[in-house]
Amino acid sequence: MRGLILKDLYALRSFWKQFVFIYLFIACAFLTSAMESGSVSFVLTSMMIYSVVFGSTVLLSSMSIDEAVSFNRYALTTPLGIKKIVKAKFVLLLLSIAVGVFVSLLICGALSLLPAFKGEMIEWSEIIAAMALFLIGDSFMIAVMFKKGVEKARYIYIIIMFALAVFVFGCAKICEMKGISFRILDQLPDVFLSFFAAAVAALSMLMSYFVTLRIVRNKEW
Amino acid sequence: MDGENAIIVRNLVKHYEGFTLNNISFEMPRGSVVGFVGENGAGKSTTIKAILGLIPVDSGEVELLGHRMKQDEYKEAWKEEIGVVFDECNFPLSLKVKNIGTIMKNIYHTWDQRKFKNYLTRFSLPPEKKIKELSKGMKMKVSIAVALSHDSKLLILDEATGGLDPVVRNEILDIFREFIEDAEHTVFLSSHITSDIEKIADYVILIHNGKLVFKENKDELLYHYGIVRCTREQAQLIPESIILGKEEGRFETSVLIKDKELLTERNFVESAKEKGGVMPVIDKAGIEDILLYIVKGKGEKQL
Repeated sequence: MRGLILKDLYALRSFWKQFVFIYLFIACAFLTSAMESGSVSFVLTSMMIYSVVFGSTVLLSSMSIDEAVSFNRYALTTPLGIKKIVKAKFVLLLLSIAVGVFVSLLICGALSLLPAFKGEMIEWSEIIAAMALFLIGDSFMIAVMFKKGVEKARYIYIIIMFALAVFVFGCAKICEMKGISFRILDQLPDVFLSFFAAAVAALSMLMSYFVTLRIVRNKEW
Repeated sequence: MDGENAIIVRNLVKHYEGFTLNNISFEMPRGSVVGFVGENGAGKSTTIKAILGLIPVDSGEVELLGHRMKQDEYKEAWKEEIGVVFDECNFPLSLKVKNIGTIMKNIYHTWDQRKFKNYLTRFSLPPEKKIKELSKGMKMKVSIAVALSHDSKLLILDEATGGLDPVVRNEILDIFREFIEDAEHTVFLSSHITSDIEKIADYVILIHNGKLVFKENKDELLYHYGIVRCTREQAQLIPESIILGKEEGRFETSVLIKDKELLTERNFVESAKEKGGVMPVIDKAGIEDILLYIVKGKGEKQL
């Protein structure tokens, strides 16, 4: 699998400058709004979410490169096997997200040292829940990417994210109309909410992995 | 497990809308070069994909180097012994040639980096160049260098020489010749360039419309097969059992036969002369002739 990750890193070399530029641009935009609102929590949440989106972008680009030269068809004739080929894509996604999270923490850590932001509480459970939601979107996308190709996966990813947003917003609206209070959530410990969100995301990834394995096994390469 | 054969294909069936790979069976002895010929769309690539497990098949069995594809699907280590080259270079275009060595070192346990570097030098492939900067021939050479730089005992090439100029093709055929100097090494070469097959193959497998037409020893094929050029009346003297294809023109009839000796034994030329008309001629039939007669639908019979 190391060979596949290396291949992706080499192949994406020409994209790294773009990725860094976009990342810095987004960071600057969030920082400006942080300066105005005086909240570092907002910047951190936005950057963490962007880290997941960044992971998806890296993954889509790598799959697009593979697709252009039918790399997976070749890879399946090597000793790698289906599992490693699929696993490598999940690892690439998680690695890219980890890099994004690390950079976000670094920037926001430095920011929180400034007197203007000192003492602000970070809502970790909200951050983790938001990231989990985007990860669920990614897990759908990976399976679609292997089944239908990158181009369709891009559109489906947008549709999934939009559907998730509508679902969350819709649920909140319905609860509000029916007079169902969210106070119960406030009473739950933050750790529980974070753990629950992370578990749902992990489960979604796991399911996506097995579905993708099945897709790859039955696909005509 | 069959130690004699590098590839065994039994009753392979794969249905598509408008095309069926129909009950393909053949064996390929170790230490040989097998040319797999057929027109575009005959089923060559589908057969190769089925052999390599790249498409699910409806029925049939495949054994590669003694490993059953279905049973050993998850034990991938034996694939160290197989080198595959498709009709296009499958490495991302932004990779540098030298990167491929680093990547493959982490994919094949038996990867030989020194061998790879030697091939790069031999093929004049600049390690610092990106794949996208290479010509089609050079890209193909990169794929071949990769296929040969691990412990390959079986090379499977799907139209690997297609689209290359004769000089590069000849160079690549020389490499395959070197490869099979080791009696354990086997080459399965699919191509519609029949001259390549004629130059290098020990056996020829012909596929047409998803059906296996024949698998023959190449030398025997070229020795026994022939084209009889005669008149329509003279052609009637040729035994039906040896006719593979016929082309009837206004002045001449050409008949592809599978046994030239039988005609000699039966004094065909003398008997034909008695029928009048021009003197019949029995020409040698090349693989291309055989392919053309069978593919163009002139063949009224099949083996």
